Amino acid sequence: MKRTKKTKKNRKNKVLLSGLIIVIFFIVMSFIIKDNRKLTFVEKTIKDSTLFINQIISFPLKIFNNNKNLKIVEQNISNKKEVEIENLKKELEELKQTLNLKHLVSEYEEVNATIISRNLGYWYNTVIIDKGSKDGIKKDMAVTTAEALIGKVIKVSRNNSTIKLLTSSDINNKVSVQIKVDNNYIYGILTSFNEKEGSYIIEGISDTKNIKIGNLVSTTGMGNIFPSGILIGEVIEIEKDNFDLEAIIKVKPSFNIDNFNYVKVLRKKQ
Amino acid sequence: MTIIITSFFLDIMISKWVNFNSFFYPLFSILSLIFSFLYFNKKDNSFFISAFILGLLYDVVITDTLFLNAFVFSILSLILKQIFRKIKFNYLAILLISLGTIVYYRLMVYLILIILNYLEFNIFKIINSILSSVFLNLIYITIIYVVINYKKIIFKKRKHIY
Repeated sequence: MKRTKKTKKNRKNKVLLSGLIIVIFFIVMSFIIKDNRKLTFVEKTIKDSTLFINQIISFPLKIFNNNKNLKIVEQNISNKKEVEIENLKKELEELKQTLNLKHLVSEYEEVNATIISRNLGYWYNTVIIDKGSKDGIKKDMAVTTAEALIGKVIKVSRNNSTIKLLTSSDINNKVSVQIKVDNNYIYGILTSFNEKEGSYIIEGISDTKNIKIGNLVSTTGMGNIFPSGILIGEVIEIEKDNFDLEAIIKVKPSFNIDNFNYVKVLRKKQ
Repeated sequence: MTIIITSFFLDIMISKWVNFNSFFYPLFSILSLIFSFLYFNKKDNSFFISAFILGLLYDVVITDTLFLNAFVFSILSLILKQIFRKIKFNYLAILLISLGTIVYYRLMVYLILIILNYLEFNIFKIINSILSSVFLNLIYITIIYVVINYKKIIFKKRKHIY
């Protein structure tokens, strides 16, 4: 009799303890899961040392790295340059009128980096590069490939940084973009990425009559996240949403999502 | 321990070559727990602690989600302990447990991220994530199983000789 009472009490205590652990876990995770969380010293040390060991182990495998399709890369680089030149002209015009324009793409220099690890969590769409705080990398710096914008820096340790890609499933991952139509720009918000089709989704555009397939999409610089004038991709499809009120623009990224090993982090010139 | 460390570094290395919509997502670290259970003392908590530390390392180095994988790996270690009390260690059992582990890991992490409002609910996404993790990981499990059995045979032969 006493034994069953004791085992019942023990079981009850175990259930209560488990429940308490789960509640504490979710409370802790709600603070940890945020992108703006800074890495602690211990995390940075462990991450840097583990990835250093990984780089030594995987060094022989680097010689088997394949080259990309050069023609596509050349076209994408040419598109990127075209967008940057157009944006610089636009910014100069605006500068003549107002002298307080921030985040010009000409203010930035590029820090080359190599990807040493890609996301395994499936949901996060992040990559880790071999440059960190010792190379002047800071949180929220924009990251591009030779062709287009791919994401931004979210975590920095001494020797490595984590980049969150624009293809991330994170519902907070939104970017202000502009679509070049003749000599004008139409503004929208890049809200998500369609994994099946491999295209970004732009919403918030009511009038699409002038937008054509092939129009280039770049950043606006609004929201102080990315500098303006960085190529994102080109329009591949225009359709209406379920309520026929807004247009949904599908944009093909101008970089090869499946195969990019070298990136550039945009660092402000000192 | 060798299996765990090798699997962890293989996870990082192979991830670099995984395509976006690939069906070859590696989950070697969590699956290594299935085999490493054999080498731990079943009576104490060393297996649970090792799973927790592996999960923590996975969090710090790969996903930057401190304690998420540590929590998931620890719970898995408790589940595996209960399963291996009742099931014999053979190839079919290992395959089924591996499949169960993959489903458990993807579902658990997805549910936690939904509760934390990090992701939106999408049934096709979770199904896709499970399917994309099956193929490569089952091949890896088979290789590890063959290696472990080969080692056992060699060890028995040497014992017999000496």
